[in-house]
Amino acid sequence: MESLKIDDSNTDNEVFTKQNGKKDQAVTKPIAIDSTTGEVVVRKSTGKAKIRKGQSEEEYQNQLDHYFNVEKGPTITEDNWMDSIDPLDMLNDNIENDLSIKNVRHKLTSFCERYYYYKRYQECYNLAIKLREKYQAINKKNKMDREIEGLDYLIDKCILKGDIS
Amino acid sequence: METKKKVVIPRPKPLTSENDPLHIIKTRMVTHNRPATIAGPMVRYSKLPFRQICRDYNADIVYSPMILAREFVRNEHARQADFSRNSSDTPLIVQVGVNNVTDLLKFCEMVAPYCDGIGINCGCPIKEQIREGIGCALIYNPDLLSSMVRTVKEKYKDTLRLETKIRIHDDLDTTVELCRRVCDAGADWITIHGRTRRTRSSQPVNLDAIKYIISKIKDKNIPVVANGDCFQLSDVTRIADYTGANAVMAVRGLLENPALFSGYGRCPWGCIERFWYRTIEYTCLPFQLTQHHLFCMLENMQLSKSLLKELMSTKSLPEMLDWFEDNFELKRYGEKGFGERVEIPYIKIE
Repeated sequence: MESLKIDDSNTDNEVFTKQNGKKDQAVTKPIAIDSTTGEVVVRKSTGKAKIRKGQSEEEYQNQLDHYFNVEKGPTITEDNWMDSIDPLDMLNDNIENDLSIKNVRHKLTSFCERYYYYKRYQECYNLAIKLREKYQAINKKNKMDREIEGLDYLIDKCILKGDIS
Repeated sequence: METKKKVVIPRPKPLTSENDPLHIIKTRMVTHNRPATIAGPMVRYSKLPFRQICRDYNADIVYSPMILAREFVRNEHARQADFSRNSSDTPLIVQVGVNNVTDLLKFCEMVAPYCDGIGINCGCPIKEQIREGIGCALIYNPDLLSSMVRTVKEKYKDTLRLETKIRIHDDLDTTVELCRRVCDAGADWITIHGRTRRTRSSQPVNLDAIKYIISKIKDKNIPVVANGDCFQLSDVTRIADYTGANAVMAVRGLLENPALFSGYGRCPWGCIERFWYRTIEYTCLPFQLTQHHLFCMLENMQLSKSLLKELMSTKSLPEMLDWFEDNFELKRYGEKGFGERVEIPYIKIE
């Protein structure tokens, strides 16, 4: 089988290599292997050819289905979107709000941070206490220590600044 | 076996005189007596909170960061991390990093309903991208670039705006030839960054090059946006007048002073307050990015080095907020005077 080669015929490519005298300066022209899937060959830093796998029509249709029907397009964050959501409801166990997913935890912590920004210390405190409890329960190998420390900071500061009951 | 129902794909977002970037670029001089102002794409930085403050301060059109088509069409986590928006995030150009027609067509299909145009990144000089044939590599691959533009425009015609943002070649006639081919392929406008792939940003932009290229493609009747070294509002008119460009794009200048298109010579304090508000509301920026944005703005405002160092030593968003509270009078959204002050409202006397 003939080995794959990158097209180095571009004159600019030669100019670059010579002028710079450095490695990794050549310009890659990807070679399309399969135009129906988008499979291309590019060059790795070592200069060797690397195949970037294509995406079959079936895989793409699955992504389209998920994107338009499940994700409903890109994430929309209007001003005040958090007002319409009770973060404590999000803490109920379900797949959508799986706390082992970092993005879910980030979203929940953002509610705390927003309360803190608006000086709503009591609400911030209540949520941070609940989140800390939940996060600690799933903190394996101390991977979430930093997030828990962040909540501890909020709890301490809320006690200091607010009239916490 | 059950046959999966084909997904109904929404049409591209309708274009009107309010959100059609091509219309804006062509008409700003007539309607506003100035060239159109464009906030260009910055890897990592051009996220929703930053885009919105650029809009607060007179950016007519704003770009997203470069999104890699290959990842976007294959991975939901990449989509969620790369692209969030809202109803006031318009006119928005989503910039794409891509090295083949198939991925570009898929990307357009998924993004066109939610933006006002798509820009192909042909200017990114990062070697990891160039090795993949993405970014600046495309200016050395005119066949592929024109084929990508042609395929998208043949499919969508005037329902989707498509732009290419290029860098110049050492031989300017090569750039002219590339631009002529991109025009023939149907691009709606071209943005030219007046630096080559190897020019450092510390070296001045080559406005003569942009002027030369514009003069050589005038017969194509396609708008050109000039990019490079726009740091003040006066630069907008100067660059447009000198080069003959229809619009001017600022990028690094906006990172330091997102209010530059409003005529502020330095970042105003109100911009800091607005950025805090947007960051808290949209929740899409990691802490380190938020911190870096605020560092760039405060450095531009000539905050002392010792305070900048303190800012960078904060470890979380609430801690950074407390640092602001300790040193400045930071107004929240809804408070009287929010987002309006210019000078830094110190609490401590340095």
